[in-house]
Amino acid sequence: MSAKPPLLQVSNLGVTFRTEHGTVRALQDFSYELDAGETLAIVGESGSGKSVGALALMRLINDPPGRISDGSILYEGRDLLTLSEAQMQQLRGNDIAMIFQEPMTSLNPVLTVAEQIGEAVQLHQKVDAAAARNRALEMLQLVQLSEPERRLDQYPHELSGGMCQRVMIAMALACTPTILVADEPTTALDVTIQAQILDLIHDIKQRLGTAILLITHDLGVVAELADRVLVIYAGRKIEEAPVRTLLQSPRHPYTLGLLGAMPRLGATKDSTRLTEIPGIVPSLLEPIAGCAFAPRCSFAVERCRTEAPQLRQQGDAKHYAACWRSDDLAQPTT
Amino acid sequence: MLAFTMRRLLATVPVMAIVAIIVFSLLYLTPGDPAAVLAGEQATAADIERLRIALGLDQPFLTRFGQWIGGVVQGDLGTSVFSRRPVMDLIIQRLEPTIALTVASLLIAVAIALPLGIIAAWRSGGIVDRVAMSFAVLGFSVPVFVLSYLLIMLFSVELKILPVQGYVPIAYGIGPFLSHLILPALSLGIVNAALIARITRAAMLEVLNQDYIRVARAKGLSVRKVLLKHALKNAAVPIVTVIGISFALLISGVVVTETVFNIPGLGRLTVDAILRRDYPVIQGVILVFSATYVVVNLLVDLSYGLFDPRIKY
Amino acid sequence: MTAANTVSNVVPQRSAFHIWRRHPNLTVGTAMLLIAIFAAIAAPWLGTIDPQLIAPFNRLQTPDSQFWFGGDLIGRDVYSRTIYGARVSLAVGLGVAICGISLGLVVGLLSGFVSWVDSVLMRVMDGLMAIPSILLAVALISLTGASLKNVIIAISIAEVPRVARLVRSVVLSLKERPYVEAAITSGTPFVSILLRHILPNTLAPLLVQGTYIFASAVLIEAILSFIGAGTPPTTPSWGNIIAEGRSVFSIAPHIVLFPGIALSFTVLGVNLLGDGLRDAYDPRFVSRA
Repeated sequence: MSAKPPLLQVSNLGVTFRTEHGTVRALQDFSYELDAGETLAIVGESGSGKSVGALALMRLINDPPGRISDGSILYEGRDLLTLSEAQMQQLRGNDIAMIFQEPMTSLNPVLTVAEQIGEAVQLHQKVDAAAARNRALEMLQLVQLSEPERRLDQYPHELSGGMCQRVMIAMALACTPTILVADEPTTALDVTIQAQILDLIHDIKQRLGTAILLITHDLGVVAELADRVLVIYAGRKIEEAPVRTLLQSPRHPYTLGLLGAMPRLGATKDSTRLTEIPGIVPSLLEPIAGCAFAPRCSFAVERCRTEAPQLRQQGDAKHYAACWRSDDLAQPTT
Repeated sequence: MLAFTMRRLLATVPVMAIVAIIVFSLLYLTPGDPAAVLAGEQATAADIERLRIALGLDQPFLTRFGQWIGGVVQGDLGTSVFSRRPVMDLIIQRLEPTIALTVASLLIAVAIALPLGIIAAWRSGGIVDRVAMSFAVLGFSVPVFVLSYLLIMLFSVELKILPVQGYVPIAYGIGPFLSHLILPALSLGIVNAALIARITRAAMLEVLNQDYIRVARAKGLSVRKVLLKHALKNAAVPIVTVIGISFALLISGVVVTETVFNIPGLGRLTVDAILRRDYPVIQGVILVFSATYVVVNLLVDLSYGLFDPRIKY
Repeated sequence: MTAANTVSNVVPQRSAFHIWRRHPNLTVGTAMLLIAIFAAIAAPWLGTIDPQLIAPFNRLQTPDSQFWFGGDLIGRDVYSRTIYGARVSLAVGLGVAICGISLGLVVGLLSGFVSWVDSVLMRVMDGLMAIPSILLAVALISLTGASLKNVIIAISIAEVPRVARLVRSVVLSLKERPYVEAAITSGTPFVSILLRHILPNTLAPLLVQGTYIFASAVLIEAILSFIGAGTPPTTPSWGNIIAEGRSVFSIAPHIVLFPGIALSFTVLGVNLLGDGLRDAYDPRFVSRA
């Protein structure tokens, strides 16, 4: 309960998509806070709305079909949802930068590395091309890319996936943003490269003090990087806690399921089968009566199907979960 | 790059050779007696015979082809049956208006089509998109001469701000040159713009769905910059390809437009040759136009490397 | 494929209204073409008179209640000539679509199946493609004489390369499919491979390509007639009517205008139909240019 307002305060955010079959509520009543230098992980399956949340923060939801329908996004006291597109452009890449899941397709194939890193620098810091190029080189050194001078004039197709992701990170950090949104930064990479990129992000966090909003489905990544974790299901936040609390005593069956699906360290793929959560993410076309996870939940009782649980504070002061049976989960006997 | 250019240049030789063979063989392959058809209905047997000798139809195919191709390689396209002047001279005389018309039409087409296609793709499904694509289908469907007459009716007959027809060489002043050129170039340009706009839209649509477009937006670039710097360069290859292809449309259009606007260019030369049954001239014009088309598409091929670094020579 | 499946799952109703909603191009295009076909067939009963009848007092007559589209240079009724002109244009469109596709099919199948023929034929097709189709048609017609038949043949020849390439690409891609490969290696007679596997798969793309050829043939015929290398000048084809009105355009624009509208209407209808068919079938091999 510090008096200082958080760096980013998202309140009651709602995002809808118009489709041929009706309106999809991709994100509902979504709230979170992010302090300077903090790393918050948003965890969920694909289709849960976690990437929508990241794009909404950047105001990069394609409209149409998407629309931010409710809520506010306070960044340094300003509501991003009330800014003009031009004001938003000044913010994007400069204050809030983003790295994406697919490094190979996220770099423009017809522009050189120097051009792609340098253009954001030129745009936001109003420097000339030579200075932007110098900055690009600096950034490539920061992300520990081999032979940085040579890389400047190369094209993405001449780089490997891991190298592309380093370039992406260099690009995102070139204007020293206060918030870095990382959408599945390691998912598309080989396991060994994944570890290297995680180390790099960790290192950057320590050195630059950038706040990170980490979007992932991988609790291994969360354990490595995050300070706090927020679990999202069917467009709603269902649990939020400091990382250790969440990993050790989850209070929502869905989180428990995700933990079961997390490969243990040292386990090879052949020896341990991942516990999968049965069923699929429900359609967000119609309003869901009760808890959205109930149909897949082995703990579900009658009340879960009729009445939607609200977020309630759990034992730990910063631990919230939206489950009728969260107290039962606290004693792992059931 | 140089080696690639040379290779591509050499690859056009067989295509040109085949074009030459086709154009030449038509005289021999068509059923009936081409000399009799070309001489016209009132011709006497002696007239037909004279024409047969003038066209070289009295000689064996290979002998005649050898002579003809030997001449073509040296720039001798034969002699007009009507004016008895070398076809090459007739063509060179008529070159300026046609080049002016073609270049102007192409510029107009690209100037209309690119913005239209880009905006239609960016706002796909929106009003601009629908209007632009309706315009494109209409552009395919309205013949050049109908459009030409509509434009003449509007700008020359009703508004009286542009001349009805004719051509003024550029040497006689840029003002009169342009005022005579603008309507024909506009008619031809609009029709070609339809095709180019459609392909531009399709190519841009594909590119705009790519991840790197969203990344560029996330960097804080304006929509304009994203479209023109990041998207257009990626969509460039299909667009320049269709511009090359549209050149064929342009050539057909030149023949018609020059007729409507009474422009003394190659198209007009063709139409006069048709009326006078002057086959050597028709043959020569076809060769020149086809060669130009092949060269334009060669240039298009060579330009790919400028837009896409992944294309290796 | 998956996209098409989901769409048909979602919209099971196949009422006329739904077809119109889903494929407006197809419906509008078909309707426009039907109107043109109706005009061509029912020409004698649509208030027309003999399109060749010369009425000197009717020269350059402006459109009125009796002569809806006015009179031409020598007093023929432009309305009657325009309606009868639909016959010429549709005959050319249909004739070229049939001839061009048949010839192109033969060339494409040969190319696709016989590899030594392929390299020769495809070079010839490259050469033909390099010659602008109007000029090729002009050359052929000036050598064979102006007649409806020759116009159809000339335009067909110019259209062959596109069809041949389309058929060839379909054949080449089908030959890679396991079931066709299996049929070939197991010694299935060529004819049954052709009938069972190849032709059914070329049908949709050829239908779409056929409509585009139809549209372009109607346009080319009009252009050929307009520049004096088409159907004989007395034939009431739209290109001919416009060509005759050329010299008096500024005083009697109706002679050019009405057949011009009819021509644009028909070509637009066929193009919309083609676009609609393409959207409905989504064949990958068809390109307009």
